[in-house]
Amino acid sequence: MPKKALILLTTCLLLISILIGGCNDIQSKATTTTPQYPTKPITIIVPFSAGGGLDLTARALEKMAPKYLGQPFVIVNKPGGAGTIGWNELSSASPDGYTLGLSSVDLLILPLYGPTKYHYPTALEPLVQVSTSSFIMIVQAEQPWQNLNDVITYAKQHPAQLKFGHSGIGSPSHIIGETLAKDAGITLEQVPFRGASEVTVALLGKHVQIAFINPATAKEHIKNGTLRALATTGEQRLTDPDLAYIPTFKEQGFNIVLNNWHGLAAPKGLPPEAKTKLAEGLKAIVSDPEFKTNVENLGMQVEYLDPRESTEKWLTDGENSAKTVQKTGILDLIKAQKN
Amino acid sequence: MTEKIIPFFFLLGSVVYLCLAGQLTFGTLQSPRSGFLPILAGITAVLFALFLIFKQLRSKESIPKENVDWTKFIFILIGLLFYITIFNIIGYFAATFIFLFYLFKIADTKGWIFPFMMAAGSSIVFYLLFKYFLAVTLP
Amino acid sequence: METLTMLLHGFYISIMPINLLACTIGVLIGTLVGVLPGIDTISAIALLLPFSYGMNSTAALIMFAGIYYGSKYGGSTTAILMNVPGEAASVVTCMDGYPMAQKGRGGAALTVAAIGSFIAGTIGVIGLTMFAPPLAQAALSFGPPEYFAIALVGLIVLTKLTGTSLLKSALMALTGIMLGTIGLDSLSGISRFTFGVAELDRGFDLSILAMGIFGIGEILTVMTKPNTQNNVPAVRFRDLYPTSEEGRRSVAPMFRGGVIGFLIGLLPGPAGTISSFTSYALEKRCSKNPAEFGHGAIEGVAGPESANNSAISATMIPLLTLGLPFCGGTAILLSGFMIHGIIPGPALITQQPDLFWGLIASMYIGNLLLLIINLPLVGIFIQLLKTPLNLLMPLVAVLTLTGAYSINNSVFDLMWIIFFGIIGFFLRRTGLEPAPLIIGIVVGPELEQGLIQGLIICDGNIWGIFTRPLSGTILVLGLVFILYHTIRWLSKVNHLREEVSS
Repeated sequence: MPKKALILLTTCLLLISILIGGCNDIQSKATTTTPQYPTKPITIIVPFSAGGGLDLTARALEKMAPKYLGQPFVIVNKPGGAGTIGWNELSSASPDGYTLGLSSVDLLILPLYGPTKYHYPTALEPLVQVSTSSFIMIVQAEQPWQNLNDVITYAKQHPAQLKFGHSGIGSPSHIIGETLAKDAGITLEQVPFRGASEVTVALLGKHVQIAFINPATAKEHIKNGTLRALATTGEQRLTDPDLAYIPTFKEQGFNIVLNNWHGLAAPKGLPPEAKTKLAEGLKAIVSDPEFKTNVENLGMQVEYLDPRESTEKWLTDGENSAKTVQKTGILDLIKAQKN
Repeated sequence: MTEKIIPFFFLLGSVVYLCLAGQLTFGTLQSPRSGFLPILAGITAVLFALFLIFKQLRSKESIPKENVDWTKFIFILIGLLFYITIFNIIGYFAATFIFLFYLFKIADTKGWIFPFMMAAGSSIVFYLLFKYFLAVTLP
Repeated sequence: METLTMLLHGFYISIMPINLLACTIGVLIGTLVGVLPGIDTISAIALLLPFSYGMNSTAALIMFAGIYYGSKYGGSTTAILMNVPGEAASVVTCMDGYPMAQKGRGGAALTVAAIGSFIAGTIGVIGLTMFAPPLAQAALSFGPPEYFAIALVGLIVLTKLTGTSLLKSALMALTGIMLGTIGLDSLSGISRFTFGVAELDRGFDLSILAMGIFGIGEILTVMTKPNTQNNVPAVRFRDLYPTSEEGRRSVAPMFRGGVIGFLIGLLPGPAGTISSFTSYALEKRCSKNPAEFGHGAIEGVAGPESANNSAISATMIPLLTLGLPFCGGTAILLSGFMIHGIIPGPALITQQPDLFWGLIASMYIGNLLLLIINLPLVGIFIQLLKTPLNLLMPLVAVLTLTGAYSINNSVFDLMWIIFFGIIGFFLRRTGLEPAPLIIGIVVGPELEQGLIQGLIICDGNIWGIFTRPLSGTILVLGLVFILYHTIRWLSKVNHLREEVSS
């Protein structure tokens, strides 16, 4: 094709795209929330990849949304950076009530390790907490330790011999392990993995001796008798009848309470009517028995907290985690990775 | 000629990587840190790149080059970059339509009506396929 | 034998109309997902998860499984016909499949891929039926030090056997490893080489890399030829199917691929990709004329395609017997299980025999269905090739870009895919093989993870890795391989020197 024609074509292309782009921008700035919120589908950002725990909670919510909120949820997965990418995007989204995101305890922990674009106290506000899940401490069943104290005694006698697996440096499971070690005065070598299933595999294969993970991944093995659970991180024992015998850390004298929770959050500055509508709708969803079954199938417990309670929890959890991370030296560990 | 330059790029890249990796702590064998593998890999890469340059300088062989229409190359690149820039702004359908039309013309398709129809038709098909059938979120 | 009775019971369940329907739908969607570049099985299954809430659990799981292994059949189509890999595991198929298509043997390649996938898939399911529990236990004894050993030896072996010049391949592999370290590293908790750009935290998705270098690279190469030729050699009916000689040559690779893929699928990591590369290397080693590889050797298509299908069956073993997913695909299957309130694990076989055996039986049926579906499709796809290139290439470009976008919903990814496309374009022109790059980026993270975890587990004692029985054996085998080739190389150099001096 002759060069001149090509150049002409390219210029046309440029002009068209600029024109259309300009028009669109002007249009989008003019929208505001109409009184009949919601009038169109709501986008839900899930900061992890499809199939993960948070994503499944999102899909459970998605199923109930049309019934209680009148509009469908459109789930968009934006994985990366252990959630950073998704939450960054959420905080810079326009607060018109049509872009929401899933939140979990990682939201609070990530900023402790490095600068994140989103600053959750000022950029995001929680709408609801939907479910929680405690972590449990498991060992292989063949080991002679029957309870937490046995492990601690052994560890004191054989320093630095016990290794525990967790799902990533700085993750909740890592924090729990290090806190236990610090509080009990023992040394546990940490072995990082990329996810709860990898940790379980290593434990089953006897490559590590201890692990802190969520109950769902290990439940079958505990029931089967290949693994033994020694403690759980909740305030109370687990509600699952198969696992209700596991004592909490608190009962055994250690003040270790760290739960994973899932919730829904929005960029700050939501119009009040949208916020109330959402809060009501979400409360109804969470009370729905079918939702409850779905969540429990995923291994979590439904625990509803309204926007105000969620905000408080964010702040307290955030502070506690900051203190723990500092105390256990995890922060130093991470800082030591860079010269 | 190009193949003599490429190893230099590798050398450059490896050296840059190594410098950046130097910022990461190496750690000890007891507890290796984040810089462990990157530094090892970087050093090996630099060595290999040097070997390759040395070998290239000595050998005389060259690979038969195909002729490339560089103007087309540049224009295709411009088209691609445009596509992804306007992708989010004007939406999938419109962006794809413009992009396809543009590419069809670059690839020497005769006439104007036919590419227009093809571009429109294909954009519709793709849009429907991805958005409704496979439920992919498209802007 | 008890297993056989249970299996028969499973067949009885799987041919119930609803399950059969679910299986058919599943494999159809799977094939579509596999053919289209970019759209990956994980997203497809994830999207269908909510819809399955209302479905009967067995039917739902049969459907998901169908999507999972169905997608492996389709991935070779675009790889062979257009040198655009539908997913990372199909990269290897590009290497010999595409040259075959250019010679007009595309139909043969597609047919061999389909048949090989069927044979290997079935071998895989048989293995799953017979050996599931003991294999799962054996797989558990592989820990991080073993993974490191496998990764290291695999890296060296695969780099040697793919590509032409060892030095160049090694450099490409190292580049791959270095690229693989970019991003947020959960082993250390920090982001490496990201320059503070949050989008880079994700690191480079393997599919983006593969689709960029091969897909966009190919499109750039073809579209910038001075005269875009429109005439594609006319395809006669005979060309649609393999000749008897080609068929004969493919049989052994199919079986070898089936076995190798199955074994590799038991290990964690991107089983499909690794198994196809390994099969390729194995075939090259076993072939009578290795020089043909890279230019259209049919073994190079039969082996890898078979391997990645049986690998899929093998990845189901840890999922079903231990409830542990070893790769992304099985992770989403696990989610599917959990949504229906079923937790796979050691008790699954005894507590839910209907589900377990029904699922396995449906895999046999699914493989058969896929063969029946894919063979006629060969003819259709070859017709597509007749589309003049100047129309086809832009369409493929859009297809690839859309598919790439759908992986992470990120325009940033699209930028990278174009960048890698440019790199791929230049790589072709300088004789640098992109395959070792892919190997590097796949094996790199495994290597690092195994090394770091292994060192901690062995308390920093690097000899610990040698003294553990499994990893020690693997490392010794690798050492033997290296020594063998070094000696051969040295003797060749000696030979040349003698010739020159005489």
